[in-house]
Amino acid sequence: MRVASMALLCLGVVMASLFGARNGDAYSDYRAAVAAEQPATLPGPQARLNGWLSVGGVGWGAGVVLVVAGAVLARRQQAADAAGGSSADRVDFGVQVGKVLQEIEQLGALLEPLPMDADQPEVRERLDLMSTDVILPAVDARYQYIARHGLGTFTEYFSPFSAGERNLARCWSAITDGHAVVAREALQRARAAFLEAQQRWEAAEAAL
Amino acid sequence: MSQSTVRPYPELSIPAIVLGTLQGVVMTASFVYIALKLGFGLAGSTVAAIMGFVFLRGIMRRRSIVENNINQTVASGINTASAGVVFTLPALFLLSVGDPTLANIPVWPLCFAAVAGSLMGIVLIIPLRKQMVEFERLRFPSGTAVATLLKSPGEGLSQGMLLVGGALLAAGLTVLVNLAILPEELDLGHLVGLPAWAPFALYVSAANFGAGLLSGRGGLPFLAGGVLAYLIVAPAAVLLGWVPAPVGMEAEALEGYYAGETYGQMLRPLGIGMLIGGALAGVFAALPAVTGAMKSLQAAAKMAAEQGSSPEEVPPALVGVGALGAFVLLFIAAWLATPELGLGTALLVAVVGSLWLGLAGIIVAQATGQTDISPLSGLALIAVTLMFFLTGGNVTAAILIGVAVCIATNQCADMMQDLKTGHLVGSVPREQQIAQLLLCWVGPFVAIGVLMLLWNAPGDGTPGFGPDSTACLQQTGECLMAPQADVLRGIIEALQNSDAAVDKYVGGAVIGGALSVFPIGGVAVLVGLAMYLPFSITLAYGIGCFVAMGLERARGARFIGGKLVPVSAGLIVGEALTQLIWTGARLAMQQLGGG
Repeated sequence: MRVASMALLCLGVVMASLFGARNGDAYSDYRAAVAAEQPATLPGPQARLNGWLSVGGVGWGAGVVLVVAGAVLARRQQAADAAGGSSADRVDFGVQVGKVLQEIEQLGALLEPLPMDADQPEVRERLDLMSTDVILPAVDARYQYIARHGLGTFTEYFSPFSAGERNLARCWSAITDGHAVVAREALQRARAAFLEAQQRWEAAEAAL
Repeated sequence: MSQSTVRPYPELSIPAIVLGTLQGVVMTASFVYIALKLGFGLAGSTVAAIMGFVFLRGIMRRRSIVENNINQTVASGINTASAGVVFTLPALFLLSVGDPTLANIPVWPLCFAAVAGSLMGIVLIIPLRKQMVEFERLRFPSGTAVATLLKSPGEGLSQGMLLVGGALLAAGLTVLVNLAILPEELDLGHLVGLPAWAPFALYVSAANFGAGLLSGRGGLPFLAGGVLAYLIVAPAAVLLGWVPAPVGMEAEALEGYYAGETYGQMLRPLGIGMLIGGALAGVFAALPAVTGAMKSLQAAAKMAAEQGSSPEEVPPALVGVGALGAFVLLFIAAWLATPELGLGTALLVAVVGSLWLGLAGIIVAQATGQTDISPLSGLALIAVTLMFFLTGGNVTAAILIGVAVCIATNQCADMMQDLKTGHLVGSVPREQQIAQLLLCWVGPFVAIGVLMLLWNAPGDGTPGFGPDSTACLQQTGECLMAPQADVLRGIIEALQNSDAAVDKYVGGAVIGGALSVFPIGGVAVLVGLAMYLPFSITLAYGIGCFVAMGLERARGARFIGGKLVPVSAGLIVGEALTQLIWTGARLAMQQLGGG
């Protein structure tokens, strides 16, 4: 189905664009006459629209239909991937968030004894690694989640997830600037946001 | 160390606002001048971030990445007015030279319209932040580059070196191009004998390549759109005889004619149509997400009120008040500028103008989010066309809305870039949004003020800029040609002859809408943008995408985050800074040399 959907989509977009780009005869002749510095009458907007439809309308319309058909097939394929697990690269959101929460606990222990002006490169490095290894795969898999739960439900758990991610970035900035207290606060806010994301994800899974 | 020594972590602070405002005003004034002189605008985020390092972090010893983010947000937000005003409003001045009925420039209504556009751009973007930055995860290459710059004090030495290395590479390349040692485009197609109507050239720009590197796989539909437009549609149209040859034109000139016709009369307007259709369909497709984002904003505001804390975003009620205020201001501007049209038409102009402004803002934010390239002039053209027909050919009303749309769309793109930067450095979005809302009026007044000053500068009633100005007629160093405005003047004159590509806009919009059914968001906007732009830009960007994909496959995601992102950010930052310095030096040399 994946190959068929892409083939339909590509063929459709080529046809629709090719015939969509074509000008009606009257307008093409007008342009050629202007270029040759000969007198010519410019067709009005309505005449231009009718002129184009008469020479390119059928090809363009057929192309649009193929585009829609290909896109609908692609949507079905994506939904099947999300539901049936035929795709090998499925990423479990709940597992990823669980890993983030574990790492936040450990980072909290590292940050706890730090004085105000302390710089802690290890915290920054671990935050960077968490971002690349744990958060990024969940972000990249967001279309799986949309296909699984629908866009509305997806936003319910992905919104606090993103807020948590932003607070981890704030923790990174604050520790760089020597504001360990702010870094701790940001880490706690990130923890609360990821917990909320986890709860909402579980609710979305339970509702399936 | 005890808690009593805890310092506040500055973010939305007076030093950040003052420094950002000062930089914004200076940049707006100078960029208006530069755009009138050279025909292109410049972005201010990178410069503002570096000045923030110098003043806030260096001289004032204030260590706060998020405070510098506010400084840079304020400065670039004010500067959005420079391009918004200078690409549209000067056309009204130029047209007034040949049409005495336009000589009375309605300055205050124009200021109101410009402020309305600026405010509308901001309130539109606030509820879309979650959709574009958090859910769609658009890359916003410039925003990512500025975030990398802001975070540089905490990055290791090796990442700092990569950032600087990328910037130096970009600076070298930019200088070589500016000195004409390297061409602006490498015409590879010409080398293998391809005709001009099947262009295969590479745009020599480090920033463009860097944007492709940052986008990776997500940018591929943009390249596909370029291939479709320039290697399939354009050659097929010529070979199928759909572009009739003008009588008596020589073969050599014919090749250029075909290239111009396929681009200007076919692909570009079709691309604009696709952008419109794609964005419109995208709005409907994203409605559940935007509704979810609004609910989340409301819930956060309610929870913060209950807990006595501050919400992380400005409350939806304030967004609503801002939108209403901007609409009323636009209506007043339309009514004051063209009282002869009556209240009903002024209301219609304000309603349609606001709707188009919203849609155009989304298009530009999506386009810059994915490619860093903004189809600003095309969208302003549509605004002017719409208003021109809606008001029965009233040029003043058309340009007034054009100014508002141009500023709003620029504001949308810039603010979304800044919010992306904020997301990456951990700023509180509310602080950025408040800063922008408080200062949204500054840029329009500065830009319009500078424009009026330059127009009246000769003091003898002759135009101060444009091809009919004394300085340009005499070809002196003071000549400000205002090339973008001259193009818009030409378009308005064409509209007065009813020359509008309605068929392409309609056809493209339907294709864009159909493409939006595809489950990956933004495909229609990318394909439309590729049709709208020359292929050389798309090709260079696409090569960047392929390089990033290859590196990710070979070296993994950590390599991308740790090595490729700083290099790409350096390429973008380096070109922006070099271009700015180069432009300043060039203008200074012209003034010193008197020509």
